[in-house]
Amino acid sequence: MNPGLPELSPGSREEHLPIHGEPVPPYVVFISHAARDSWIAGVLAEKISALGAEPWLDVKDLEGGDVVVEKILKGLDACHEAVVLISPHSVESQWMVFEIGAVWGQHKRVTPILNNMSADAIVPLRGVKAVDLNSVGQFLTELGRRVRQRLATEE
Amino acid sequence: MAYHVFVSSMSNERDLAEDLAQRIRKAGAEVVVWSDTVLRGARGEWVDLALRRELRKADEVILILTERSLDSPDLLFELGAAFSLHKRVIPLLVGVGEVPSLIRQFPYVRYNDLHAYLSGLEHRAKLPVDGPPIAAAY
Repeated sequence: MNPGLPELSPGSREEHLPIHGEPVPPYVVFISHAARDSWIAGVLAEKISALGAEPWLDVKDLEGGDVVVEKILKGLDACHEAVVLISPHSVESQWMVFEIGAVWGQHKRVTPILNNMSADAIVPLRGVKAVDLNSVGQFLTELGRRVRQRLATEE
Repeated sequence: MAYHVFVSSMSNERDLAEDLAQRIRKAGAEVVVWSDTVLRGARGEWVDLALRRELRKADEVILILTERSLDSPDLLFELGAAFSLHKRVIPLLVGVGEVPSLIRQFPYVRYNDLHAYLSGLEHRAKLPVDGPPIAAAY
């Protein structure tokens, strides 16, 4: 047994904790969306949570009094990948293009999820494989594989 | 080590960007002028590499924004990219009336206040960059 760890009773260790060393930090997925797509973003966040990942969502992670861009930067620093909900509500959003640029700046994976929009709706994402909202199950399957791969690597 | 400033503008504001670049050089910093002419359409890999390289190298990033370019996807994209790299980002507003909520999150400078900004830049450009304190170098 690692002498640096306190002794735990059987079953008290959470499933995703490795036997040795520190707990594995959660696999964080940053969700970028327009305010009017909050319900869809919330459902997506629930499905991401169910895979063992941690969604970063403004309504969950921003509190009154927060400096918005500072909090977003923390979310971006912490995330492993991002999804961008592209809809008729978000396509004109300055914040969305800003957040896409921010994810790109950190060289992280970004998946456009299209809700009644074409794949080339957002210029900076042209050339990036998009997923239609009706096929989001496929994205979740792939995300689940990445989460498990990371856990296996970290442990 | 030189102090680097990245200046981005739309192509039709290139003259303004070049004028600003001259003033920045006079303030003692090195400058790269980037415009959207290379970013039209799909974002090619070579553009990605060049843009990322220049943004990483920059100590400060200035985005020239006018009423015409406030909604430019390229400039907003670069704003996000520079911000995520923890750079000092300065939107320079030229003839802009109402400032959008996103831009208000940053220490934007109006063109009429450019002189004050350049004075501050001159000071920052003279400071040592990335070097350890002299006492710690021994």
